[in-house]
Amino acid sequence: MKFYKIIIVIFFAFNVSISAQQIEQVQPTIMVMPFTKSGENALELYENDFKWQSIIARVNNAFQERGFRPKDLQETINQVKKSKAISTLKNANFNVEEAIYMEARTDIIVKAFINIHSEDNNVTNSVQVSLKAIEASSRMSLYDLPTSSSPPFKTTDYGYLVDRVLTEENRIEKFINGINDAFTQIITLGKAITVEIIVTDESVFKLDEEKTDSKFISELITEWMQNNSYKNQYRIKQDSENILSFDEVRIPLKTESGTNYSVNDFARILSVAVVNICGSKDGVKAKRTRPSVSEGTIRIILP
Amino acid sequence: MKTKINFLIALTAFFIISGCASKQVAFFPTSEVTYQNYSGDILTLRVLGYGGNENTAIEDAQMRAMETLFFRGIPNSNISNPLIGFNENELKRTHNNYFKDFFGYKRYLTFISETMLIGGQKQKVIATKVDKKSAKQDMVDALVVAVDVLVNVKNLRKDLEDQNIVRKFGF
Repeated sequence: MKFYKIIIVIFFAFNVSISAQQIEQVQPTIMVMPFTKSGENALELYENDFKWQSIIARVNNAFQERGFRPKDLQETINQVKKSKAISTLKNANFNVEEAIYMEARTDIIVKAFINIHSEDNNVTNSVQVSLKAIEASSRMSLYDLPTSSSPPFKTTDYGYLVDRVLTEENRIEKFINGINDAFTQIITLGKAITVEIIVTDESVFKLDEEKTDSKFISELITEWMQNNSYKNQYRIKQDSENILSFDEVRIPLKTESGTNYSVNDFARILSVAVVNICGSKDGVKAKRTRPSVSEGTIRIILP
Repeated sequence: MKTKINFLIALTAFFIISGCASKQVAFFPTSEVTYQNYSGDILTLRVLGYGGNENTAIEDAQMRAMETLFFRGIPNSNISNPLIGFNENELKRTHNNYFKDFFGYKRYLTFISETMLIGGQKQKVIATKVDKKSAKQDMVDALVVAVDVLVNVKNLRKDLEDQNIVRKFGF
């Protein structure tokens, strides 16, 4: 009987270790967006101008060539139009770019910038292209492809010129490799998120309230962050009586057992920790508030 | 009896000659690899290769091109970072089977789409003479060739990803 028990235990242990190895890493979501000088609606330009579509298609294609599927901008625009019940982005009375971000909820935004340089009454043209990959949660730049120009051509086929800039000397591949190197850093250092602990009128506790060992609640939360951020990587942005914010807290991509770890998992344990730190006041125990998680930012209202 | 002595003399001479023949020359590892072009999937490199004859020198150039691409990166190109990593010795030890197959069984040839001999010259170069007993540095006669090696980088990277030598794009 004992022998069978041992066999069953070994079988389960083996099975668990196999299944832990088989868990696929959740991949980041990426979307390529056009980027213009302020005042210009890039998305409107994208819908109406082929050169913008060309640059987005070329960058998307480079991701696909590496076996990665970015989110489709046109589909996201269509979803926004549907939800806002409009047929065109022209003169939209809402922030189109923000609406796109909210709809797509991507981890990484790739911004593509194009500038056209014309000579001889717009007969000879060249384009300047630059690309920038930004981590949505921390707003940190992952990789920048410096501005590159096409030679001047007697053409108005901007799509061709854009394609030429990106494929010549395989610049686009350098950009993709640069982002992948940044991913290596994220795997090593953890994913960057931002955290805000806010005091509202309804908060019973205050950040500058003294608790154990004459420490303020804000200090105890900071200590918790120090112990629980991945490899102790955290940075305080603001520490006042109404807000304690961290502009960079690193969390792991996977747990020690190999399962995926998300911002929501971190938000859950953080909100429990905040309640435990607050403890009780006048005999009333602190009540846990639901943390809000959006684009890699955790917001918790102090109980 | 005389026949036996002759046989022994012949056998001794054979061993002495074959012993001399087993003395090998190891040329110093260099990264004399210059970037030429990188368009589409093909990377063109101009490489100097060393050898006793044209074939061995060309083969040497092809291997040097691959080693530089893997562990050093190609300066002034969009692959200026190494395809695999800088820590050559550790990487070769970790992925021993892959590199044994790649360099030992010449699998690298399947990622070279073309090799063009530009020119060659006999030169005296410093190298390591290796025999069973010792290894010493000395000047040796060598054929130094300049070769354009065209590498199919896209498929090479895919192979490295599939064999888990490098991480795929993403986390």
